[in-house]
Amino acid sequence: MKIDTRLFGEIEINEESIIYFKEGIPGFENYSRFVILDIEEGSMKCLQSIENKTLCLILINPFDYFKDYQINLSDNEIDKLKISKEEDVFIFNVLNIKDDKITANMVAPIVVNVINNLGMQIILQDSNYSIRQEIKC
Amino acid sequence: MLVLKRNKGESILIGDGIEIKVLECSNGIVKLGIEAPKDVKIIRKELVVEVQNANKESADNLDMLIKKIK
Repeated sequence: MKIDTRLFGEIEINEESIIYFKEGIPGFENYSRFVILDIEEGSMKCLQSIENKTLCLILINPFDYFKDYQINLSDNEIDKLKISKEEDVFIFNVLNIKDDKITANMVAPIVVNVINNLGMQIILQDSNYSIRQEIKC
Repeated sequence: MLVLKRNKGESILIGDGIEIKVLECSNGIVKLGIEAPKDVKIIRKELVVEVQNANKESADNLDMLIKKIK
């Protein structure tokens, strides 16, 4: 199917690559269908809404920057994403920019079960991570 | 909004299996004890608001971000 994207204009995507965020993502609760697309810059990706062209977030693989990054999913989150094996899960963090500094939101990782394409932005309660962790790109 | 007065040690019950108890109250800070089923997510509201704002900012600043990482 064809979708309109913020970074690449109209592109063709495989419907099987659509990731379903049942609850949307915080701040954009009304949009539930996304695709994750590669962007040219290194291993970064973008989370593009299918329903809203302007809703596009840049994602990093946290382990490229923080080797010991660790998150614990609650039983409830594991149930909702129908996760059966740890290796079926991909984790990304959303990039931001403020005062010319690039930061990553380490408190609210995007978690995707690649087996069923269910996704969720988890909010880690009581973690020592920062919502605006500065990173060097 | 429903408003209730509670003393230290008193609780309110919400639906099935959720109990919120006032444990301590001093200097304008209320310490609450919460019991709820495992599938009920309990989270500080300001944390959710911060994540909402961070996501909105990120989408708003996409062009700047792309320029910077290129």
